[in-house]
Amino acid sequence: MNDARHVSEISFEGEVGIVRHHDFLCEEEFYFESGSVLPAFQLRYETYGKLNESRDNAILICHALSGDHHCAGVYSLNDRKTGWWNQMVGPGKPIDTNRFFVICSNCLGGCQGSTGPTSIDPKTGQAYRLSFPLPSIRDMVAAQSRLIDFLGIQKLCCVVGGSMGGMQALQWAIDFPDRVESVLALATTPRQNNQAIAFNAVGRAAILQDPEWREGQYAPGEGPDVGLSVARMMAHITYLSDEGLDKKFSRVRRLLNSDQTIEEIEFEVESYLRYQGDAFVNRFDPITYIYFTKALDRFDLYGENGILEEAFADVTARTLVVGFTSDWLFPPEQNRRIAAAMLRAGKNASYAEVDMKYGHDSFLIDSPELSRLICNFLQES
Amino acid sequence: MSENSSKSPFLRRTLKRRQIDFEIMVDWVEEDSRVLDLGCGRGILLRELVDRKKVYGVGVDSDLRKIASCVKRGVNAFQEDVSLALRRFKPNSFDYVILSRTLELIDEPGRVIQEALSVGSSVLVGAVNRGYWRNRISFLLHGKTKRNDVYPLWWEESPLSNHLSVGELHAFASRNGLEVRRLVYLKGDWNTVCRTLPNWRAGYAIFELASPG
Repeated sequence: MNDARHVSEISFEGEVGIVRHHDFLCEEEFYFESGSVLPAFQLRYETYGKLNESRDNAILICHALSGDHHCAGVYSLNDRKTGWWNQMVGPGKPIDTNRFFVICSNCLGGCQGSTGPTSIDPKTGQAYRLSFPLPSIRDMVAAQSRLIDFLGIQKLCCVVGGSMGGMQALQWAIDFPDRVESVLALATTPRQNNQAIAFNAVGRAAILQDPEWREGQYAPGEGPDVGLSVARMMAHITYLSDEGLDKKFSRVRRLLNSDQTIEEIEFEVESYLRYQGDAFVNRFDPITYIYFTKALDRFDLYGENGILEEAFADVTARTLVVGFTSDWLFPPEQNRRIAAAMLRAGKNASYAEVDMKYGHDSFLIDSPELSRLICNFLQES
Repeated sequence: MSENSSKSPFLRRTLKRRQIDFEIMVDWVEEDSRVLDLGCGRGILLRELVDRKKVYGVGVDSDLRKIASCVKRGVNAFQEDVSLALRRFKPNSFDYVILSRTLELIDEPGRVIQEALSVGSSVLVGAVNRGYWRNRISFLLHGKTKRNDVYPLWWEESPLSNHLSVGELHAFASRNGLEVRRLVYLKGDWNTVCRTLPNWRAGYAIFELASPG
């Protein structure tokens, strides 16, 4: 086959390029599930692509625990770090910005520009800290719905999310059945099992037992950095897999010198984790971390009767749930149960399992199988 | 049903063959019914059933590529081994459970049929007749299984497979007290209906099985 002809058959993938964030200020009161009230709140978000005239080509992407609103593009020409799902979002990419208007917002209670524990409480003039209400997944979704109102969108053609974002996507379909055409939930769960709750508990314990925690009243620029870093290091392991780590580090050691102490880094994987922990401390707030892990732990679609399909009774969105074979944090079975319950409830749902070796974080990694699935699913939109 | 019609001659012939047995199943299924297709492949049959009989359809297949095709067709598809997926549904959740060329590729097909008869009111089985005379003669003369359009792979490349014949299906039904509600035999071309000596002359059979009473 002639090369030139071959090339012309491939749709050209482009980049969303330089992006900037927006802030949406909702000046109405916001009631949390718990009954707490905020007088107003802000959500930081980014958008890619164009909203069409009929305003029906919008896709909302919900981020995971440590993610943010920056899921594609770069902030400047010198910016070497693209958004967290850059390979998935862009012109000609699976979430095609030539077709769709893509929105990604930082969650309520977050620490990357949306109102959260680090924001100033107008009543006191001080940061909220622990007086900020503890948000649930449902609260995060309710806040996003105000942003979608503000953007003048009645119905989203898809809500997409992995992990905690997958929980939000499902919650969208449950709470706003008239506003969600389809749901794409990846590496997620209808409720965490004990193992996932246990890991979150250890992460919180590391923060709460750091002497710098000071009941959340640490001075600006200080705080339980060690605790947060340890929490992140441990959580990061749960996002990977034995095989994935082996592939990446294969027990590589740093050069040993004869007077090396046991406190120094010996294996490459240690160095990697330490870097992950330190980088996290620079961008994440310990209280948000505690709050979001609590929101994850308390998320439970099984409800009072313990019957998952009851949660989906009003859902109208067609749904694709994607599990990853090597994910041991939210294992395939937990993903299967979501789709199976939807099918028992007579809904339109599918379950696909992608065989990737990177554990829970597989959904963030480029894979032709995953891209094809998402293309196929969105093609129906 | 014209997927890849221009690409692979084998696929083209196969799909053409499959049109008749799919056609019979589409004909049998009532409008607005609920259908579970175990081993749904690329969702071609389910798509037809949704379009022409307005069924609520669910497909099950263990192969991601097949599931991806179902998703593209807008057909509900669940990726898992059929016997495990079957257990996720309550009794009488479906009007029909379809096992189209699936029995030969699964473990304990008898148990799967029995479980399918609890999840669905009736089970539609489509199966290649290994008792077809050409198969018999080939084995008699050469001592080898014939390699052809239906079984294109050498034995060493092919998955574990249950060989079954029309006669064996009937024997299974009577051993287990199952009612054969409807039945169509197709000749070796999988196209023309076969009326006599089916265990010799049929290349393919479509059964509707139901629990008695």
